[in-house]
Amino acid sequence: MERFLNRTIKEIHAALISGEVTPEQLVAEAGEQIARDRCNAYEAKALKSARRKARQLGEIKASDYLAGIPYLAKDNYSTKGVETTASSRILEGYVPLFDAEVIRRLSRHGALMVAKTTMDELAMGGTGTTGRLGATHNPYDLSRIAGGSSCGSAAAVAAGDVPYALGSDTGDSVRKPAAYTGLVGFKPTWGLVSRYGLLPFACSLDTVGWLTRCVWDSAALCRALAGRDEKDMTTLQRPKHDYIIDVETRAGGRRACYFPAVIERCSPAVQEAFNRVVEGLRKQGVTVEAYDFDTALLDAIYPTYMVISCCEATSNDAMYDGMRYGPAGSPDSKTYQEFMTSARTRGFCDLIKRRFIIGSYSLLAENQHDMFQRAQRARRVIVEALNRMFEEYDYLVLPAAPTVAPKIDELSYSWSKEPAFADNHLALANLGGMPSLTVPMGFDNGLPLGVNVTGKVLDDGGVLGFGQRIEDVTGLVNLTVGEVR
Amino acid sequence: MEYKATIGIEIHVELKTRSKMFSAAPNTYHEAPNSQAGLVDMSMPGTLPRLNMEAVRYGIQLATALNMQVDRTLYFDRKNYFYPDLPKGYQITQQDHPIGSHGYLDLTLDDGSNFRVYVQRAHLEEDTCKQTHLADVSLEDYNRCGVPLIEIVTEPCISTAQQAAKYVEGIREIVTYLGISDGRMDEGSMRCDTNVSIAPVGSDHLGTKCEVKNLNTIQNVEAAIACEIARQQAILEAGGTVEQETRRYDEKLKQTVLMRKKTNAVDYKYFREPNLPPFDLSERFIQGAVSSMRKLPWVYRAEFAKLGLSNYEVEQLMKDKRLVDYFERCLQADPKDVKTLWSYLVVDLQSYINKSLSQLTLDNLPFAPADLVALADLVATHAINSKQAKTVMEDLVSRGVKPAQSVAEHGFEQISDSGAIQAIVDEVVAAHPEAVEDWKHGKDRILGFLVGQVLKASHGKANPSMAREMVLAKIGPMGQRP
Amino acid sequence: MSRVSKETIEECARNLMFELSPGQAELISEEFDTLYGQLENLAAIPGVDQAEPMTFPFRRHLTDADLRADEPEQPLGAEKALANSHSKIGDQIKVPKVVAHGQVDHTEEDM
Repeated sequence: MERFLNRTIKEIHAALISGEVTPEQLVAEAGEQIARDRCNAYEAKALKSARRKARQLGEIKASDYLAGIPYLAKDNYSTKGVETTASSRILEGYVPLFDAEVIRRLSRHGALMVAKTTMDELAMGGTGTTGRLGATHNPYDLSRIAGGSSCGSAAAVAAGDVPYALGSDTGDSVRKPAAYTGLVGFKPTWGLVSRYGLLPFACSLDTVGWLTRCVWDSAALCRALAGRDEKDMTTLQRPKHDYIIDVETRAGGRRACYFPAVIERCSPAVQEAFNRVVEGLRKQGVTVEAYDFDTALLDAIYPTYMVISCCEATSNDAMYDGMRYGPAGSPDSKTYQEFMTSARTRGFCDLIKRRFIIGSYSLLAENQHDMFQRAQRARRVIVEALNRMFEEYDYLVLPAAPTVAPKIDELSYSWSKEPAFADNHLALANLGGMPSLTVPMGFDNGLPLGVNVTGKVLDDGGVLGFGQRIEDVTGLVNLTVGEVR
Repeated sequence: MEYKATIGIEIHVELKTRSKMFSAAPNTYHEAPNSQAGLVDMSMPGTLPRLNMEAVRYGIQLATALNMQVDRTLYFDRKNYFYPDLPKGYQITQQDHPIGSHGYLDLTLDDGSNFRVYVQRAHLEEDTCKQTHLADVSLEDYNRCGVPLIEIVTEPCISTAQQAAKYVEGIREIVTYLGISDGRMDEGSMRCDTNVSIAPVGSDHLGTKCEVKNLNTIQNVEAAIACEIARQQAILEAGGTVEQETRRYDEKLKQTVLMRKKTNAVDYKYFREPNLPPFDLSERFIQGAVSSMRKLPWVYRAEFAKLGLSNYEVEQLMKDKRLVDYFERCLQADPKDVKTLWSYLVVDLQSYINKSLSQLTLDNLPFAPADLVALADLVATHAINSKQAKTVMEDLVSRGVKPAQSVAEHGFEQISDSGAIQAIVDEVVAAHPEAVEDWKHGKDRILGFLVGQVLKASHGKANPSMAREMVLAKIGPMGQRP
Repeated sequence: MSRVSKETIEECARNLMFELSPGQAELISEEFDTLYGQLENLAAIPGVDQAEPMTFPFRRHLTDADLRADEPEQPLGAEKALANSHSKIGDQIKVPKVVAHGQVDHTEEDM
């Protein structure tokens, strides 16, 4: 049978317009793909409601790029009537009463959500192995991770199950998995897209994000999802903007820089691929120069990010108490403390309990100055240094990860003793709220490598335009795994 | 040894907005449990806070009434703790930047002495669930969760139980007069906690303070603080030491009882709320809130005193804002005598309302304020007497009959024409020569008899005081008894 | 000697309403030692001690015009509001009786 969902949004849209395929057929194809999943990419399925919506769809107009096309949502998006667990036992059985704003907007555009995807528990992790359903595998090599926390979204899109999936990005949770699975992963400016209905990890760092198989598709999603939402007071009021035009015109500045200290710490294959991208960009007339960013500040990224995110998470996740949703506390509890403790003890994995404790301790009045607030001060110093860099350059271009995706059995889950900034620098864009995009840049022994571009706050169109330049250079468009190995 | 008390008071006031502080769910009371909660109140994962504009306006108004500095930028913080009535696991409050700070309230005790209470801060926050404690379970009602609150905290500057009670009464009056809260302590829309410590007079150290929580009437505020001062004094006089505790007032025992020892203070792990950016309030917004403030109690007091009402009369009115509102509407009808109007409103009409079997209130009376003024004016001008006024009142309240019509129906018009009365007086005196003789011989009751005859002859319509004067003029001074 | 003791960590866990699996407290204690070293490095960065703590990724101030108008929306109704709860009686959520007058570990009132 002819396949469609392994194509780009733009191509599938053309097939729908020409009548080559119908939305119902696409949903059926998605169902077959989901049934064949070997990566452990899926949480709840929503095929029935997708079929119903597909039937109800009217005529698809030429610019309704998302209409009639199946997609996936990470399991930390609230989806009305579809179980939402954020891959945590604490939320098992929770069926939300409302759609997240991005789900609502996609729905309004006629997009068809067919399933929810696995993730690191409550998005607190970067391996894609800590969710309640166990490890999610990289479709390019099942012994490796797909990256986290948006692991299921990355694995499924790379496997060609659907053309795109929603992820969320707090430290690099869309952009790192994108690098490991040969995808385009975008994290817009903080506040450009509503977080209403996104189950929080660390609100001051969290952004909605998405994984696609080309930059154009990413821009199409940005056009559909950006814009103020009165339900999220942190969203920005912006004039209507067409990000697709930015991509098609390669909008944005032409001055980019990279940090040599990061490049030096990458594998030879990554360095080689990166250098090819840089050369290609230069041939297009783009300036790409070395920039000496203080390595002490690069070293500061990990503790700064970790402390802030753990502190916010311990507070955000205090709502999970077994009373209103998710498995209740033990019926034998004699006190409310026992009730909550029994629910939370069973509900969370060891890793995130450790993170909660570190966050909670860092917030205690006697510690806050030297822990949480010190991280918040360091955040300012890092972001100010980054903004000084952005006075000279339009974009920061760096390998999204120093190596290919790690093997699942070689992972470490404890607090990094010597954090490698080449592995953590993507969090810069979260600390500063900047738009940031990962694009495929090559392969190392058949495993994908990604390059990242980060731009100034609200230059989302420029970052997407720059990403398109990179895609022009690499020619790596619409990568999917032919046969899952 | 003599001791002096140091008292601080924290008051939580529920704001009477239409929707909640950070949630658009309705702000209601007396509704079926959990029928009014929204997604945000239930802390459904992924929901976000949305700050209520009206609550901010109320905050500015209260801060202004308490002579406070209004912070021009609003910041919110999280207060983190686990408790069944707190669904998010934190409360959104204003720890670092209260909307109002450094204010004061001037008050007068019943003996006429004045004192000032310094108010440290007033901040916006959200209420928790209402809990019901049964035999072995506690139930959570999320209707109250998220209701806007203002917490008002004084400096530890109050020195007597009477002052404390007066202060709480003052705050209650301000919030009800501003119309920002029901101020109902019995229903929990205003809740009061106090901190009490005592120290020997002349000592520059404060004693160990005890908190007395959940005082639900103003009488209890006064009683609880008085008890607590006495309790602490007894401990010190017996050579003991006061321990830091949280106590509550037991109305039946008439004493404060221990709730818990304060060993380790809870660390609330406060930090800035990352879902609410700072709000810069424009001068125009602040001025708009201030200029739309309703009249404050002390403004009414001054106005009523200027109208000639006594202190007592003013305070009787002030007890109930609805009475004041009604009185103000009556004033628009330009009453001839304000004291008479006061009497018919505060005494007569109130007692009708209290006695009425139907659900009569000042808001659903079957007549207009101007009608009550018309009645008061009839009395003030002696057009009817007080007995007749009762009948007119009855008609007015029970059937909405206008006073003029009522007077006509009952034939209550008095004859105040001196010529007409004089003619009757002449007739009566001429018809009773023996009575005039008795009068000349010092029989004092004759005057009353003759006036009564005049009123009878006029079918009760002659103005009694005029009749009396004219009879007296006719028969001359009373003679000596033989 | 660890900077944060096993006892402190266990107290933190109690306050966070969960129990730790065996061995976790020791592991967290080690993680704290690592973290403290990293925090000292942060403090050594010029400007960090003087900087204003940053909550939002960039300056983001709203105005009074951004405040929500005070217009109530339709509530969920009890049935929906409690639909996901597995701890309820009738139209209310239940927990084991909250001991209001005994040893309660914080100072909120129970109106």
